[in-house]
Amino acid sequence: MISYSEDTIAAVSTPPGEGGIAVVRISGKSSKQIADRIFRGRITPSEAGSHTVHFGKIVDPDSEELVDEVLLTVMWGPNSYTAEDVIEISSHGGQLVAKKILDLCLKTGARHALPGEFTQRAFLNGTIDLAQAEAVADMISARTDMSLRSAARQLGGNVSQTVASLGNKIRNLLALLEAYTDFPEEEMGHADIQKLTDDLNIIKDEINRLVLSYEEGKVLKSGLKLPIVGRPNVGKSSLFNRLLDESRTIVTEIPGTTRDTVSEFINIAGIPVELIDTAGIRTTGDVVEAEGIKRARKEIENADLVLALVDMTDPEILDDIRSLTEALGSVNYILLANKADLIDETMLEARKISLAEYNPLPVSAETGIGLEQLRDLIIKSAGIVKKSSLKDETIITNVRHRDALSKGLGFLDKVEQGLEEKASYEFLAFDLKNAVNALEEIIGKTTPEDILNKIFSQFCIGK
Amino acid sequence: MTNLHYEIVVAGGGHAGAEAALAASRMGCSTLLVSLRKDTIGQMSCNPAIGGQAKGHLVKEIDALGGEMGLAIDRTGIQYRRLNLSRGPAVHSSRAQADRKLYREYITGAVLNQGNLDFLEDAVVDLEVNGSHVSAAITEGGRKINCRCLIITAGTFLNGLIHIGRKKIPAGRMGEKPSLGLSEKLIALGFKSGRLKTGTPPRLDGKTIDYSRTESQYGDPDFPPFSFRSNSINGNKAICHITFTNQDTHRIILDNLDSSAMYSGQIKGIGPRYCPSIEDKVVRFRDKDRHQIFLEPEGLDTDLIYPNGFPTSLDEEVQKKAIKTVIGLEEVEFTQPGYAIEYDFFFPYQIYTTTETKLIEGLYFSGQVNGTSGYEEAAAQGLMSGINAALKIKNEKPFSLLRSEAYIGVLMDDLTTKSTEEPYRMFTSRAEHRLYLREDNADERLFKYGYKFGLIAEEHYQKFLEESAEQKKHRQSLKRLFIEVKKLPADFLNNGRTKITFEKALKVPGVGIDLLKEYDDALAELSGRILKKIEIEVKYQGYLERQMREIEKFDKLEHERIPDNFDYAFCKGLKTEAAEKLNRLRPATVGQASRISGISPGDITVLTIYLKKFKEGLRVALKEKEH
Ligand SMILES: Cc1cc2nc3c(=O)[nH]c(=O)nc-3n(C[C@H](O)[C@H](O)[C@H](O)COP(=O)(O)OP(=O)(O)OC[C@H]3O[C@@H](n4cnc5c(N)ncnc54)[C@H](O)[C@@H]3O)c2cc1C
Ligand SMILES: Nc1nc2c(ncn2[C@@H]2O[C@H](COP(=O)(O)OP(=O)(O)OP(=O)(O)O)[C@@H](O)[C@H]2O)c(=O)[nH]1
Ligand SMILES: [Mg+2]
Repeated sequence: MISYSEDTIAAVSTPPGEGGIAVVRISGKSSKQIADRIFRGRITPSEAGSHTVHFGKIVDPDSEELVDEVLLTVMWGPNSYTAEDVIEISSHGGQLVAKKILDLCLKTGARHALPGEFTQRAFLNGTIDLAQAEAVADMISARTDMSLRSAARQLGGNVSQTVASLGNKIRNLLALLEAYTDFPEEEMGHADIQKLTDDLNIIKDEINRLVLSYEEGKVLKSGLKLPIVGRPNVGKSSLFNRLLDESRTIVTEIPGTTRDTVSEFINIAGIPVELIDTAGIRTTGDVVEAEGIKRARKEIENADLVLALVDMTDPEILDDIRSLTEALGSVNYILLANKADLIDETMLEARKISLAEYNPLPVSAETGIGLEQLRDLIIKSAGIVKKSSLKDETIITNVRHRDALSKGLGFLDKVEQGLEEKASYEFLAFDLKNAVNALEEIIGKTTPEDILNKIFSQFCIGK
Repeated sequence: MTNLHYEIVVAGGGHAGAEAALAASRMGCSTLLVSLRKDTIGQMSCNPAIGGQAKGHLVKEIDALGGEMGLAIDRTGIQYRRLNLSRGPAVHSSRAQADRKLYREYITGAVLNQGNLDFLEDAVVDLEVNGSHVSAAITEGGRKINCRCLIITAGTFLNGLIHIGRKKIPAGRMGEKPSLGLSEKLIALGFKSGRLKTGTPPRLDGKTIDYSRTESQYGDPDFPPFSFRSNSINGNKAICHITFTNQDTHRIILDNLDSSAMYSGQIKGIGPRYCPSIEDKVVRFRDKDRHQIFLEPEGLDTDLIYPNGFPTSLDEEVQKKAIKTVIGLEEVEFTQPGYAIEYDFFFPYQIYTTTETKLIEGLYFSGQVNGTSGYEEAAAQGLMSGINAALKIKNEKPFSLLRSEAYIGVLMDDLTTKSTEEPYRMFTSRAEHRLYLREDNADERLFKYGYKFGLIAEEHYQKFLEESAEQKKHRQSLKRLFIEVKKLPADFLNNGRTKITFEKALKVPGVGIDLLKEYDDALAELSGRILKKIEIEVKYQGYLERQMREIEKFDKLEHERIPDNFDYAFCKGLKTEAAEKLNRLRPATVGQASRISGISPGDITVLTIYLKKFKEGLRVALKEKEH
């Protein structure tokens, strides 16, 4: 009934953006093997006793490249949450490192857990008792409605209504084809293929828009990643704080103060922006700082947009800009020249001319010069046009929904292909039905199996 | 009162009854068929035709399970056609015009000549129940027939009432008395009944029809027999004709609607939407300026014509006036007016997918009494009843088919889980796994069961196995045989190759196995049936494979059984109405439960959670017992 597979699942089980520690959880038969392959420590995980914790490193088994130092907790079935062999890897590296570790797990044999799948396994394997299961069942309806409703209010749309209406539109096409299939040609004649194709395309366009809205929805939900990078002492932390409007990080005059990445969410025109302060980029002998710099590089890789900071008062500003932009490569960035308050009008004009090629935006973390303009640029450069949210259209924020829509779209592509190839109606109907089923996985109307999976998906992934 | 003893009694000698009686007796049970008249065993009440869209599929399945219908129509048809050939193989269906008299005589002969099977001309009017088990059937003629299984297949006869305009005639069908009393006895036992209606057109005297102004329709020369077990068919010996109603016809009908039993509110039963009376069609589709009428001969040695498409319950004089406006029918004479009939049926949620009633063990309902309509639907149920009654006598496990295995599975599942709002007819769209449930592979899907029950003879089964092996072998050989590209249709994109495998070639639109077999002697020797199967397998491979994956997913729920003693009242999260409904309908699997109308996905979730716990509890209890 419930699609209960024997395979091994893994997911990051700490909520995004919360605290420094991120936990990757693995459950299933091959947990032990996976841990053995990626963990390097004093012990081999599979030989460890149940409910023990071990210090060590996670490495890419192919290259032995270090990912992070971690704490590994092993809990062997049946005395674990899921009653299977469970391994939890806690790292201090935040989401990015956790994601890396997860990728290694997936590479070495695990499958990405579906939302709520750990809980589902716990339930299926009987580690949650009836009362708890009832509580789950009781929560379901309330949770579904509430979460959908609040999401709707927040994003100015309603996913389930949109999906239901799309489902109905597909059903209408289906009904039409079925009529032509089940009643004799003598009576019905032939279906209007052009009209069918047109209707199909309208539906496809709408689904496509929803799929694409996930890009926006994702940003609206989990925010825009925006690291501030630049050489030591250019004022990254100061800008960070200014933008944050409160002092959370240490601002000093000694180059290389910020040795780790610090991040905080700010609100720019309704979009949550995850501002990330990084360690200055330069070569250094200090190990801790080197690590911070490495992290800064990783932040750049994962960024939606980068604030590239240089110092307006720096005589070698041009060199700095050149090496910085080179380091950034193809990453989307905004170039800022900080400490604009320290130079006078004429100097500023002179600088503008000499830097015309790069056209940096003069700002001051000290006085706030140029920050309003910066905010506008952020919104624009990030490609967030806020079309859908402004027009009150439904936006997809959940990756499961996006995947279901993409799957549905895939079936509709097959229908379109079938129409072109003049496939017989029953084949078109087959894929229309598949499309409806795919879409309705979102609202869980299709089969009880999907429904049960849906309940458990009400939980955060990996919980 | 005379006392008789049989293991199985079948009440009703229609299409359901005949299949039930034949299957039960062939499976070795002493069986008695009781029917109102010996001379109407296997009578076709309405249209003298077997098969058609989705119904052809049912006939093939009945045949593969060892039923009689396919053999009967192969022997007694007078025109055979394959429908929907412009579509894909899943919706190709076989249909045949039967000689009404020959068909009846064939079925009668099969019944009367069958060992283990006796016939009694009488009416079953009551039954005896011992505890919760049926123990005897009581007849109008004063006989008590002791039995362990009783199969009721009374068709349209239970409190049957014919309407022709305002005239009402108690009857089971034209010229035959209704069956009175049995409904009331069943209701007293706790069964819930309802009222349905169906209609039939007038019968025409063919000598008075001017065919010269109608279109002719001929049979298909290479029609493959319905039955795997027939080598040939009776042949295309008759021609059908097509004509149309017109505005004059429609005006007469509209002007006289108050004479229609349907429209004057005389009829309380609900009729089928898919088989509307001519007055229905004219009223509901006012913008249609004509409706088609097929003039179908009723037999070879009769002039009777069945005007398919013109069922009506209008006043007889209005019927005549209206039909005489139709081209070719200006001078037509009736031999019998069209009529509507109302009858009792029992809501089919009261049976299991085996057709056994949930209320009384050993009592089976089959055919039109379950709210279905059509000979094929009736015969399919009758076969299920006969097989299951015999299995019960032998103390063997009951037999049901999955939705993914057969249209019969779909039929039985729909009957037991959906509410009956109109007479139930099979459609291909009812089968979600339609691409797999084809006429051409009915034998692959079901022969194994027919053979297991002893309804398919050894020789036929061996032949089937041989054919399957041949099919597999040659399917593989297509990968090794090559054809020159220039022998294929010109517009084919060959990517510069001069030769491709037969398999690839077969996937090219417009290329059939018939073309390929020209280039390979071994293929050329295969029978048309095997060649067709190979062609379908290859040409539609992509769709078929995806269909099989869907089935696999779907069937998981179908295998999730709900224990007989499971009490829904204990499921706290379940809505009261849902619990009541489930307790009443007692679905056998979670899949079935999920299809019951009014049961929400949330209900199913709660149910699964409890079910899991219930089974666990059971395991624990059993373990404790062991210790
Ligand atoms: C007027 C009319 C119009 C129809 N129109 C259509 C149509 O358009 N399309 C379509 O698909 N189908 C139509 N049918 C339905 C089709 O005839 C039936 O679906 C089919 O015959 C049902 O088979 P059955 O075996 O259930 O019952 P029937 O064929 O009705 O046979 C019932 C048998 O039971 C016997 N019997 C009844 N009561 C008793 C008793 N108490 N004891 C013993 N024997 C008993 C009768 O003598 C009869 O032999 C029509 C039927 C009628 C009467
Ligand atoms: N006048 C002026 N001073 C600034 C401005 N921005 C930063 N400063 C000063 O520059 C110095 C360095 O600032 P930080 O914010 O620590 O620089 P950083 O880039 O974070 O440096 P590291 O973390 O060491 O890489 C501090 O003394 C700040 O007060 C500005 O816009 N104007
Ligand atoms: Mg800093």
